Amino acid sequence: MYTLEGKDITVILKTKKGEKIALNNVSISISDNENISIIGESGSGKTTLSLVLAGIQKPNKGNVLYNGKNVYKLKGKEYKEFIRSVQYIMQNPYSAFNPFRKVGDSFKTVISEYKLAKGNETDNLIDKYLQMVGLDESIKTKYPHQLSGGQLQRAALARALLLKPKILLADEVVSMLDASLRIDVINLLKEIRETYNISIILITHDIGIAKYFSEDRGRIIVMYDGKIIEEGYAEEIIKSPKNEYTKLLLKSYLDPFR
Amino acid sequence: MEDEILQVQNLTVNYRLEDSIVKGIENVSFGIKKSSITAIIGESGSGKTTLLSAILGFLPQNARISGKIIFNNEKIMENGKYSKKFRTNRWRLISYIPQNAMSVLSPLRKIRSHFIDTAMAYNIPKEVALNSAKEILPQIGLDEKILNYYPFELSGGMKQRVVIALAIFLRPLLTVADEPTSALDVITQKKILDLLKKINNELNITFLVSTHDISVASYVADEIIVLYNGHIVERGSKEAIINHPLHPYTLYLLSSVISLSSKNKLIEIREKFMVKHNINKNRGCPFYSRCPFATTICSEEFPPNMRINDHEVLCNKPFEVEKSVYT
Repeated sequence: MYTLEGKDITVILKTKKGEKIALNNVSISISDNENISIIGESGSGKTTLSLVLAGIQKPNKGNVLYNGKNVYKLKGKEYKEFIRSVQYIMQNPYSAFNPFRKVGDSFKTVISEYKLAKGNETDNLIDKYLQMVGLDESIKTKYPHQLSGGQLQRAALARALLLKPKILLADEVVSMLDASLRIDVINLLKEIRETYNISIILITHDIGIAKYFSEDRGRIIVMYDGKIIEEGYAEEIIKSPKNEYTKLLLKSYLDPFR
Repeated sequence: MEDEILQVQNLTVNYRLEDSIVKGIENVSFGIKKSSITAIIGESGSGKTTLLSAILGFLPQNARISGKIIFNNEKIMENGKYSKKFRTNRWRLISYIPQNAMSVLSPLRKIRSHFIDTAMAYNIPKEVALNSAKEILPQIGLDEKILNYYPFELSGGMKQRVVIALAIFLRPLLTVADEPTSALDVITQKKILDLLKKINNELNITFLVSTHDISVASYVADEIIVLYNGHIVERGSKEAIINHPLHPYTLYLLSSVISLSSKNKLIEIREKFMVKHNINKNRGCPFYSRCPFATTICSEEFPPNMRINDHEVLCNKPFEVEKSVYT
């Protein structure tokens, strides 16, 4: 049993044009085996919220609690354990890997840092996780630029899974891919969620993807201008949205089979 | 055919690199009807941008081109040579909305200068250019006072509209748009697609739009061309392509669509596409390696271009999709 909570979070970002309220008093709670999609357009605060929850961006006001403890005050062993349990996967996989190192070496850093395997076992472990996300083991010896966006995104996912996280924050992980490949990555996330009992928070601007990811008793959270404006079970939000912005999002969705 | 504004005939484009030749598109032929919107759909690397660049005469120096392009009943290109009339009048015949519309405007010049420069390149006087710009802007939802603004004073959506205005203010016969909405959020995407439909309808400009998203193609287009690995594998009316695809690759693209209202029953078909056949170099069907319906003939023989009802399909076994999925 674990919980990750954001309480009354406000984030103010300094920009060239002055200060911008990126998150305005937002609260969210995530526990075991959750299935949540956060949707909103660029600038709605969805990425900022996920960075705050991942312990990367300290909020100006409010607290983030992991199992009741303030994440931004954790030290030593406890901090390391938190970082391990809550993994963040970013939109652009090319910025998640060191371009000068082979993909396999990036895995090795994680493995030795957390002492996950020794000697020969290291390679076997990497192979196992690559296989899990549908990649060939040959990509170990390749550099990030030699892989396609879809392949590297899968590798980023495999690297995060190595740590057996409890919560995965997946930020626009398919928006860089061709439309025809997106669904395969979402299917992979669904499969991982179900097989390993990991809570996955999918951040997306695409309400179709949110519906598909969370349709099985999952939640959808709609953000606009730094606030949560609507949340509920996916089926309910798709069928009977209450907020005008959510209605507009649904109306703007292009559906050839409607 | 008389009602076709553009005819592409046996177009092949390869790129010559230092020590190799990279295939762009191979033996592509199609026509597009006057006043229609045609969408070219394909994944990254399928040859969309190569095809559009060939039509616009924008291919780089190292491209080897063969085939013919007929535009408005005149030959504008043969084996890589573009006619003088086309080169000197390009923007009035075929204009272009580039993929990265947000970053094509010069940050140092006012919007009005962009219109003037474009017109002057085709010997159109400044006053005429500004008048037609003022006429076009309100029709696409922009106030004419933005002519005095610099690009940084406009939002992303407004810049997108300016780029569209620049493409249409000289009233071309055809406008080519390369992934016009791929960088936009869903709400802006629909607004821009609605705008293209409105321009098509009211100004009678023919559109050729490329996209990787079959939902976009289905929303905006009358006709759809499916490109795979440099080949046109299927083309036909929107209804035909969306509701009765004949090519397995079209079926694969449709299986990636998430519908909000209906059950996504095509998604289960994706498993069939997990197959991987070893390719027979230089022989066989271009889709053979990924085709779940492939048989021996598909590994041996390049498929014929078949005309079935209102489709054209490049397939050795064009009834397999219909048999296994739609009956």
